[in-house]
Amino acid sequence: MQRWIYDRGWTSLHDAQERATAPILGGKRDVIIAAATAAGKTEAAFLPILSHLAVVAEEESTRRTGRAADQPWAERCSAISLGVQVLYISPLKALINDQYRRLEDLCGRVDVPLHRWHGDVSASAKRKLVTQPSGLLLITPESLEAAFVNRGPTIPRFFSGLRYLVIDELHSFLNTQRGAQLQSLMHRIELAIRRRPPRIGLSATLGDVGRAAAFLRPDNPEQVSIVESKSDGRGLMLQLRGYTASPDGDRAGGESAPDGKAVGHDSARTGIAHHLFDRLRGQDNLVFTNSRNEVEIYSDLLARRSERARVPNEFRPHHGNLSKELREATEEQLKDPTRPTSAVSTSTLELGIDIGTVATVAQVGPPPSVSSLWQRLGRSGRREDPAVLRLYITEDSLHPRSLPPDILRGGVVQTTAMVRLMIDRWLESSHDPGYNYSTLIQQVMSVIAQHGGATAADLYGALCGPGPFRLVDRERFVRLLRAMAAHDLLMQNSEGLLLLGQAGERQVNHFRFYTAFHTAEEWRIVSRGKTLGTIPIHQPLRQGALLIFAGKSWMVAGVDNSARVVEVETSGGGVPHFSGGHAPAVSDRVRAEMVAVYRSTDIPAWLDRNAQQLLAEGRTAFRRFGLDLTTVLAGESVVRLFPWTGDRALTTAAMALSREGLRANVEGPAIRVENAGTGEVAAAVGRLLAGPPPSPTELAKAIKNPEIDKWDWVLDESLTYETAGARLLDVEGAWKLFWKVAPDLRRT
Amino acid sequence: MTSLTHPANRIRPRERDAIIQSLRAGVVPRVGQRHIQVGRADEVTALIGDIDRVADGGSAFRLVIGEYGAGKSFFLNLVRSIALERKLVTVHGDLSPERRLQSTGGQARGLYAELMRNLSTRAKPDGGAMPSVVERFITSSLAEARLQGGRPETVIRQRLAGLQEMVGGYDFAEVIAAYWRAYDTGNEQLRSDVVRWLRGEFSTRTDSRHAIGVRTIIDDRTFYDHLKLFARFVRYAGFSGLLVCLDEMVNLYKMSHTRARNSNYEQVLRILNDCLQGSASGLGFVFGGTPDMLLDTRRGLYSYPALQSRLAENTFARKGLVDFSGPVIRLANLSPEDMYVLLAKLRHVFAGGDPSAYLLPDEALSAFMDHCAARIGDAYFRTPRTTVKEFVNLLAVLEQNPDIRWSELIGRVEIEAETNPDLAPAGKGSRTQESLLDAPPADDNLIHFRL
Repeated sequence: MQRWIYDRGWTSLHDAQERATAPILGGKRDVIIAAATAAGKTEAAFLPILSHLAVVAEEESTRRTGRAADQPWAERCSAISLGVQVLYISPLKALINDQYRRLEDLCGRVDVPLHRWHGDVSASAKRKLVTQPSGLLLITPESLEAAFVNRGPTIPRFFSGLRYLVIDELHSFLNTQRGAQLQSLMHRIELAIRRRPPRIGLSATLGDVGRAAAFLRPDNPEQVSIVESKSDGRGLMLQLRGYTASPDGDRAGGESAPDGKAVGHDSARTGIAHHLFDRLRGQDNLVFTNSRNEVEIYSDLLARRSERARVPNEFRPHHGNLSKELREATEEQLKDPTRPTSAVSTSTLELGIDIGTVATVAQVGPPPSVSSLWQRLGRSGRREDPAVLRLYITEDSLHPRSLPPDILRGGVVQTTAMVRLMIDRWLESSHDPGYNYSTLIQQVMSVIAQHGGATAADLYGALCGPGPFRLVDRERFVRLLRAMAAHDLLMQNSEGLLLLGQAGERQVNHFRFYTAFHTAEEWRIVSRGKTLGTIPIHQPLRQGALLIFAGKSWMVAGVDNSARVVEVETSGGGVPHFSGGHAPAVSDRVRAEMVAVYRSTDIPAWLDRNAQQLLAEGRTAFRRFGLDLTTVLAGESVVRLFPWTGDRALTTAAMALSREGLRANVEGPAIRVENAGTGEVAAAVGRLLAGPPPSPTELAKAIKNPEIDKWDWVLDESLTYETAGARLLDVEGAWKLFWKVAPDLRRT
Repeated sequence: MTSLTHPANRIRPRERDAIIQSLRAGVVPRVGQRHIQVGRADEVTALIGDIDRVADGGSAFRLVIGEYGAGKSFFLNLVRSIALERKLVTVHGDLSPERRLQSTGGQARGLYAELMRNLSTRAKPDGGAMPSVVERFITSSLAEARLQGGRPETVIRQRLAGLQEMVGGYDFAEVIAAYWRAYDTGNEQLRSDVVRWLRGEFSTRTDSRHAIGVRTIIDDRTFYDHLKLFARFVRYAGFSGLLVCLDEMVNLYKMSHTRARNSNYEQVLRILNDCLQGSASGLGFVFGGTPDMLLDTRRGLYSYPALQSRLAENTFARKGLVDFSGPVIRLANLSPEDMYVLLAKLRHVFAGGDPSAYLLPDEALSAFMDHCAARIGDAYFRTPRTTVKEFVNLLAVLEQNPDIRWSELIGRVEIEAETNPDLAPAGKGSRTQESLLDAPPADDNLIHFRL
């Protein structure tokens, strides 16, 4: 081991590497190593782990030499074929391949066999490993799930010698369905081998490492040793570019297009495309936009630009509606080091793109969340190179009929706030109360497939009881099982053993079963039988609520969940360009940071000139509307509330106001109440505050699209609304919001 | 009844200990089944008919269907011991996720290897009889060679000519000939390689070619063909036939991969067709499974239409009318009288066959039965396993604590439903040093859960 370090030419170990050694070598406690990318986390974990293995192997062999001294070769074989000793779980195949190359040499030195296992690894290599499990195994959560489903009976033997469980990119699992799946899989390994090997988490530096500890060992986060390195690792290069779209447009070419937003946006888009073309060519890059439509527009613009410049087109679209072949071709091209390629992709498909690091990550439009900024940052910058993040935000140019959210320059301000939070190492925490029914459904089926049937009591003990889904009580679990049986996912034989039903078998036998997360499909917007286009929708839809699409505002007339269709009718009223409704919920903290951005006078250096200008405009408007003093902005027959809380509280408040008979909708960062004066709004708020707050489940019944995660369609009505209410709504926040706006309403 | 409760014959201590140890562990005893057999006379008669048919060069196919713990495995073992008495060779094994009738991942070969490890003859009833079967063929060939005055190898090849028309027969004959060579030259390595080959323990053709010079091996594809070959071979060796006992068929039912399950059922169909049409000779199959495994139309044998029509039970055989000639035999529940006799026999075995050494009076047997009935209802007639286990445990305690009275103990007997130990929360019942997690409070809500 020392030799290896010497060969690297390292004179000293990094900070984290030094401090992680003792707790890992001890082999008793869980450890989190939090450090910036390229600060040597991998080595920090694997140097002590491999030393430990080497020492153990040494001891074993000295213990046995007496018996088998004449057969040194057979001796060594028996020492290393005791099952997989270290399991390394990583979210990306590309990362596994990368780590495989890095660890190959190191493992070779200490005679530890190294294996990798993911979708692209040949079946014969997997079979070989199953018959002779050994050494260090690199795997994805999905492949691990597949191993449980398809090779259930071999699992205990496979992991019998497990000494360490290493989870890379721990932060990317927090608060996700995939994270819940991972927790469950780790738990099931422990059940299979009846031991608890220490878990080692490798994570980016986070503001709150406690959450990572709670994720790593949910029932005992206190004992997790945390090794945090403050060393910077590599740098970050960042720019936020602002663009202004003129209202008339240069050519007004968007008139007939279904996406009416094209009106006036062509100039801004062309500007962004030009910039992307100039900066990204010649390297591998990822460009994220917030909808498929945008993906198509930008790939088209970039293709045409390449043609004009007579250079090969390096920009490839990548989204869920493209055929698998096209998407795979894009991914292949990204992996090919000889051909520089940039994928233009939707945010929703982010998890589905399995490629390694790229030179630059570009985000067009406000990023969905701070955690997604984190994710993207992790993908940029190879090894020692700095990460490069480019953000492009378009704002409408102002005209007399512009709406306050546009005048406030919400896009630029929100993005600025998000970047500031990211620099402060903050990211969103989970709203999910932890029921996670969707992943629980998957795990129930997986456990049944693994054991060829299980009783309800066994399932409860294995998964819920003290297990990863501890918040699900018996009553809810029974309801869940019944709902699964109603869809023929489960059946029961005469002894009470639960087995997979016919539909359940079909699901489990398909490779799609192994992923816990959903690559969310977009919704089709239909008006009078005519399809207007598709958009991703993350916010709750209600009958009669407003939906902003194609530069118009529409009223929701009906929602078909299974076909993912929203039926809309035209509705009057202006349209803010910055709707924000297509992005996942903006959190309370981001909105609070936005206020801080408005109030401060500091101009971040990473804004370009135009963005600085937009920010200045936003700040001026903020003061002009008096929003530094009040939360209420009353116009002609329209009242807007600016409580600067997160979207969940805003939505909940709007729904509560609608129940009081007001036409309330969420409009960007505000609640907009139409055809009402401040008096009426104040009265409604007063009535609401006088009574007890409704339960989230009760309120959720108005939501037309409560199925969010992969398996939510299985749930019965009560579980559906319970989970939708818990996830999408924030009654407590809404009531705080009402207390906050009530005095302002009275004053106005 | 008195004659049944007081059988006069004494039981050897070795047999007694083996029976009791097996029963306490909840498994079927390998020896002395006759001491504890009760009831089911018709079923036994039917199976004896099957065995005789196999011995006459015919074939047999039976599915023994009964609930968990109804005594299927016991019944299968009894049949096996009868078959051994009638000079059949028997192989037996449990199906499991790693041992199936049909597979591509080595599970069928695994089952074959398991069966051949358990190969038994009357002289070797506990398995491992493969070398002696082959040896017997060789020695009888030698005798014939001496009689005819031919070369032994020629005689062997002549006698095996009948195998060569069958699938894989040529190579099988080559392997047996290799055994003769090993026998002749005293090549122990080759001898054990041949036995390994016959047991299906070679996993690659290359190994087989190097060791024996035969390019084929027994693998997943040829699982059933080799059973048929072997059935004919044992007849050449002077036995009357081969009986294959496959227990725990429920493991096929539990497979969650639809296609894999159906291909296993296809193999069952193939066996059934061969046996009932008589194209297999000297070969009998007895399968043990639960009612679900047979009757469930979604995933049981009945989910495979061709099997359903062949296995459908005689519609006239109900309400007291019986038909033991169909391929399916249902193990009737033990009646309370049968149960009483069973407990009496257990007491007898425990006392080593000496009525004066009985640890319990007759009324204690009734008291024990009443107690069990009160605890788990009439389920204990259907599943004697747990009842038997607890009864033997009770006797064991009484034996070691002579001053305690049986009436105090009976009230403390616990009988519980079985659960999967792998899924229990870690820490509960685990033998690791550290206690991992607290077990959740027991709650009937889930244990008796119905969808």
